[in-house]
Amino acid sequence: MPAVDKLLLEEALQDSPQTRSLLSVFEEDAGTLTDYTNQLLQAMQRVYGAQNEMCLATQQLSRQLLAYEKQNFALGKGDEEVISTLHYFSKVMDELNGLHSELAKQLADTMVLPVIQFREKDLTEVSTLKDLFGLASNEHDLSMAKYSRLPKRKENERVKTDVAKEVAAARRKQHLSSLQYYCALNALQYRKRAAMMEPLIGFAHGQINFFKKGAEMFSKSMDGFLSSVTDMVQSIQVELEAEADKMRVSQQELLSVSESVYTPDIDVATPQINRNLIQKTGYLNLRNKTGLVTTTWERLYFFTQGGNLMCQPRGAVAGGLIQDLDNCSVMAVDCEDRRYCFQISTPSGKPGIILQAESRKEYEEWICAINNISRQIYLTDNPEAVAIKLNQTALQAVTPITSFGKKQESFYFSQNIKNSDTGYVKIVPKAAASIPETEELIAPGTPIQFDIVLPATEFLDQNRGSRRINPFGETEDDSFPDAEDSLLQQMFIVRFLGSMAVKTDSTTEVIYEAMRQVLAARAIHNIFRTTESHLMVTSQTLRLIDPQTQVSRACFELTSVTQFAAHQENKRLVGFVIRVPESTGEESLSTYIFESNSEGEKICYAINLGKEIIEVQKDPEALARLMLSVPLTNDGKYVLLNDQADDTGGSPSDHRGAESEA
Amino acid sequence: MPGIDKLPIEETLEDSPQTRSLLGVFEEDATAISNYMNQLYQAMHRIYDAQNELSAATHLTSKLLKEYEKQRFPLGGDDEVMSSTLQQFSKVIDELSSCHAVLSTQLADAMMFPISQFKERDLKEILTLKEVFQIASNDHDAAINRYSRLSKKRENDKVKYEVTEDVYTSRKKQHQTMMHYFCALNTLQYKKKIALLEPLLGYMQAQISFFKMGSENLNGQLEEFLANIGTSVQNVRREMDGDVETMQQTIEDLEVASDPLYLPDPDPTKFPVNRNLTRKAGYLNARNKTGLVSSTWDRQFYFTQGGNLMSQARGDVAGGLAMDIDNCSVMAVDCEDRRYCFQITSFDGKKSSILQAESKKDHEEWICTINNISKQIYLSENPEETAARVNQSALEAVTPSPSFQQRHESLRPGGQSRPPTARTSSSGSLGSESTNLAALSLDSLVAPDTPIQFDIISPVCEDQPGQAKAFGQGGRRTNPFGESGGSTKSETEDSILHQLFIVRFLGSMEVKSDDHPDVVYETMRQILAARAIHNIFRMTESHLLVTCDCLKLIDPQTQVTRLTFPLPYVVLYATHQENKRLFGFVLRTSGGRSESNLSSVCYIFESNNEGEKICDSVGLAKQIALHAELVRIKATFPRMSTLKHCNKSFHGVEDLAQWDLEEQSRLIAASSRPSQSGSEGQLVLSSSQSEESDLGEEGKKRESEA
Repeated sequence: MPAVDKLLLEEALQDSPQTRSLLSVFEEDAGTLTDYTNQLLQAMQRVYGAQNEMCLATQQLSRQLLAYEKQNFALGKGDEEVISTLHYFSKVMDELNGLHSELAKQLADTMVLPVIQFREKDLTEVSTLKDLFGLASNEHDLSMAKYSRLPKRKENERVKTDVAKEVAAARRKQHLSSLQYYCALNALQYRKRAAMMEPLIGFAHGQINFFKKGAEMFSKSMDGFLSSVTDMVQSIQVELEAEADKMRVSQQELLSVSESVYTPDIDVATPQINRNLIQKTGYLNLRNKTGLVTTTWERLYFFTQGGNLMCQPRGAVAGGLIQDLDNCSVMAVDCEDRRYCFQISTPSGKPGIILQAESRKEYEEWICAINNISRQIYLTDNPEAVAIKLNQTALQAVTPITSFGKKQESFYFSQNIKNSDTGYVKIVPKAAASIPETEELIAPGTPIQFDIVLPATEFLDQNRGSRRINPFGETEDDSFPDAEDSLLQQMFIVRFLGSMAVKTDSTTEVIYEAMRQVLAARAIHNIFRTTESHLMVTSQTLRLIDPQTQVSRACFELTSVTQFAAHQENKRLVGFVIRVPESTGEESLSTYIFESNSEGEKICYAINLGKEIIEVQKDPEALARLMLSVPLTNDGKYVLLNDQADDTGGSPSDHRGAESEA
Repeated sequence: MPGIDKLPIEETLEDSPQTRSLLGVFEEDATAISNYMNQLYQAMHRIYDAQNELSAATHLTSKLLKEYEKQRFPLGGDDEVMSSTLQQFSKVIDELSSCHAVLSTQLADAMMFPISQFKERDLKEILTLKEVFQIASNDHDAAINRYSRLSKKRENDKVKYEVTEDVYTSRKKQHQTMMHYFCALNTLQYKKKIALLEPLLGYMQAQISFFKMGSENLNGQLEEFLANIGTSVQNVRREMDGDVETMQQTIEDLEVASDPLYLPDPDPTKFPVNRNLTRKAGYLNARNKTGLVSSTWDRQFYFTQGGNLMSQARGDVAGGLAMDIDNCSVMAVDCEDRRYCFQITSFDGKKSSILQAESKKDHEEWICTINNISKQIYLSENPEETAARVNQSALEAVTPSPSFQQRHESLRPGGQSRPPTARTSSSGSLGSESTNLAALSLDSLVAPDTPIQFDIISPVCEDQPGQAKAFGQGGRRTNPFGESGGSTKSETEDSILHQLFIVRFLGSMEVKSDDHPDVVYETMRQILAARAIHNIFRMTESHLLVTCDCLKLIDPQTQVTRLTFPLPYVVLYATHQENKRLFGFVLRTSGGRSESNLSSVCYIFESNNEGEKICDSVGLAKQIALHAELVRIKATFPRMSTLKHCNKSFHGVEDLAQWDLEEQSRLIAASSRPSQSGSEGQLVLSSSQSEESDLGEEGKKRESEA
């Protein structure tokens, strides 16, 4: 180290201007050093601040990578691999952040702190000593001025001594403070070298350690990981391009194919209507009454779900139930001069909804689909086949054809043959002949009633029948309720489908044909509404009761039921024939068709049991035996049928006599 | 890669709420991706900014280290080692800064660019497609509403056709935009993975290359360098500790040793006065006249530098010339009732300063030092020894001693035997006499304890009465001749001889003998010694005018004659053999015949190396005067008795002046008679011209001889 300029301590007492001048040179040097040190400290603090910011930034990025896992991505399938990769990246970043933190700490301890200490301790010390020296120098000057003014006279010796002592004290003070000040300034020449070097040594050492550990960290197994991630990225890129190509091709195909589907009402002349649908989706306009007169049509998405019609606005996540289609009725309707409108009515007869389709095709398809659903075809094993057959039957039912007339002719012939036969063996031929006779059972064009109102009318006729009973006296009425309460009372839930007049009640085929025609007519006319009722079977009557009001809608004398049966292929369908005397003296035959929930056979059994009770009421013993012989129901049913046949063959007076006996 | 959820493009035409709902899920996911990517972008940007700041800060540090060399530190001119070390550090930090800059560039290219691309291109594309799709969807809704309101009537087929076309167009547009939108959303599921991993790959690779580059740059050589610097710092610290310890010890020693020095007026017995100094430095109070009456005393640092007195205010970098103290005079002085004051007067008397010392010791030391410098002792080879010798001589000169008395007695008889020869001797004669008198004792030349006059006032006071008498006598004698006599005298002086020399009067004293140059030498010694002893430094600068009649001392500023010496009475003149600048002459106040009433006074002057010229001039003047006398004797022999009578009747300066005037008058009268017989005035003028010619010729001859 070369020689260093020094402030000579020996010259402090003399305090010549040369010494002062040299002191000012040292002070200037200290001032320049202070400025430079401040700049250097600012630069180093900036490095430290940047390093600290790098720590915080790396930490934030690492935390951000971990935050990916917690993101509520709506689509996250397949992100597990990405999440694990991000975890690894985050771990590496945490290690890197550790390096940065350590470097920042080293910078703070070995670079910034020495400069701060140098500035706060050494430079501040020099500044303080400078101030003290200035004060002492001023005091000394004042003392010397006072001393110099002392007069030559010998008097005032005491004052002279005091002033001299004062000068001595001030001079001593100045001397001591200047000695300390010179010492500090001399030492500063050494300290400024150390102060320059030490922070840089710390900085360089920190950087060396930083790069060593960084190189070590990144060298081990990092390349493999990065290669795998690169491969992953490239494979994703390949998948992306493949998917993009596929979507582009699909888009091209859709654009070429879909050109014709943009027109809303195309091919009006020859629409390809699919009438066999049991479910359908699409946009319809729903009519909303917003006032007494005004209405709005809202375009909504409708779809069927089982027996329900669902409606879903555009922004809704899922659709909501708008109407139950089971047993509903659907028909075309004119509304506000709009095209393709139809109305869906509820089984209970409440006002339904009015919808508008986009085109004729959509219009007819929606009506057929809803009609199919209304009949609950969708519950069968093969809904499509059933729907097809049903539609075929309906078509035949509503369309006159030549073969239909032929069947009618053979019907009459068969009837004649049946009338001449008697005996059990002859029953088999009846069954064989029943097929050709079906067409002659019901007159063509017979009107069909679809609502419960008709049974009410029949009920009124029954009331007139009651007048006939009245001549027999009140006593018999009293005994009748008692019998019902005690002997037989069974209730079944049924839905009335329809009723129509028939020509004969001698065979169950009449009931089967009536079932066919009623269902066909309902299908043709899109009648889906059904009236649910309770069928009460007693030993006296068949009663239809409103399940909500418990009011009897219709009542049939059990003795009037001349024929009853459940459909062999669909046990839920049940029907019976009622013989009602007319005012003209003739008897009219009416068939009533019901639908139950797989309980058709039970209803027949109950009716049969009721009839047997009527038969055996004359003989109590026989009644007891009948009750015990419940397992013989089928045979009993058969016997009843035979009795009826005999009655039918007998004269009207016999029939009337039977009623009198009842 | 496991299956990814997709928006089915095939369902875009039906556009069911299920499709819309699924689209909502995808849009929600896209929004979440956008938010997350924005946060990730901010985090990455923060890293990039931190890296840029780290690079800039490191670069700034390196630049600042380079600037150390440019710092104008007043001290540490020998800081080459320091600068080179900092340059080395700066180079290392520059490399580090380069590594950071490369990392910053790589982060920008490989990390920020991909995620920026994803943000600006892909996410923005989806946003744009969403807006376009929304517009198409709204258009389609409007068209389908108009279509639905068409009536059942067959009329308005044209309107029906147009509305159907609108539905067709808007449905197609919606379908196509929806397909593009679905395609973009489906693609986003792949792109979000790429956009997430690619910047991190870039980041990691940048960090790897950064650390690799850093490891290469910061190698073992740097560690060795750092070890060396560390050792140097330890050495510097050790040196500092040693130096601080030394200084602390010095401080303790100085505190003990300096305690007696704090008193401004220390005891003289402890600190004797050093009178042999040839230079001195210290604080003095300088008197400044700030008004007619008021004055201030400034405490300034004074120091001598060669023959100059320098003063330096406290804040000044260097001192300035206060006064030239060569040949100056210094003496103690009373001023404003302050103690320890002294006055320094420059050699020409123009400038003087009054200073106040701190103590009696300082006071005496300053006077002696300035006195020593005034004699230019500092120019000799051994100033200290010379100063000591001068002081010793001065002491002897002012102190009576037995040997002095003995030498005086032995010299006296020899001197008395040669008065006539001395009066008529020339320079050459002086030289020969000097050789002859080598054996004489100095004591016999100058009486001991002879008072010495140091100022010009004393000669004026001493000679004024004599001069007045001379003028009075001249007036009486001149009156018989009228006004013309005065004018004749003036013209004579101007025309014949007129030489001016700048001299400084040193002092004068009475001497016992005037027949040998040693008298002048001894007088010089005593006067200089006395001035030194008494700290007299002030000199009066004058002009010495040499004419053929007299020697005049003239004030150079006012041109007033201070003193006049009649030339005939200058009986001896010489310059010092060792210092030609010193010049002295002896003035006899009586004739040789009346010794009992007359005495000789020796006057000593200092000139600027012109002492010999003054002697030559005085010699020339004497030759002219002698020639004039001879001429007078030839022409006016009958009047000889009258002149002798006049001489006898007058003694001293008055007689000499009278004699001179009479001679001139007679000479003029004699020359006028042979030529003309006009008016007296006219004759006088003619005589004057003739006299000038004659004297000029004589002057030329004598000058040639000289």
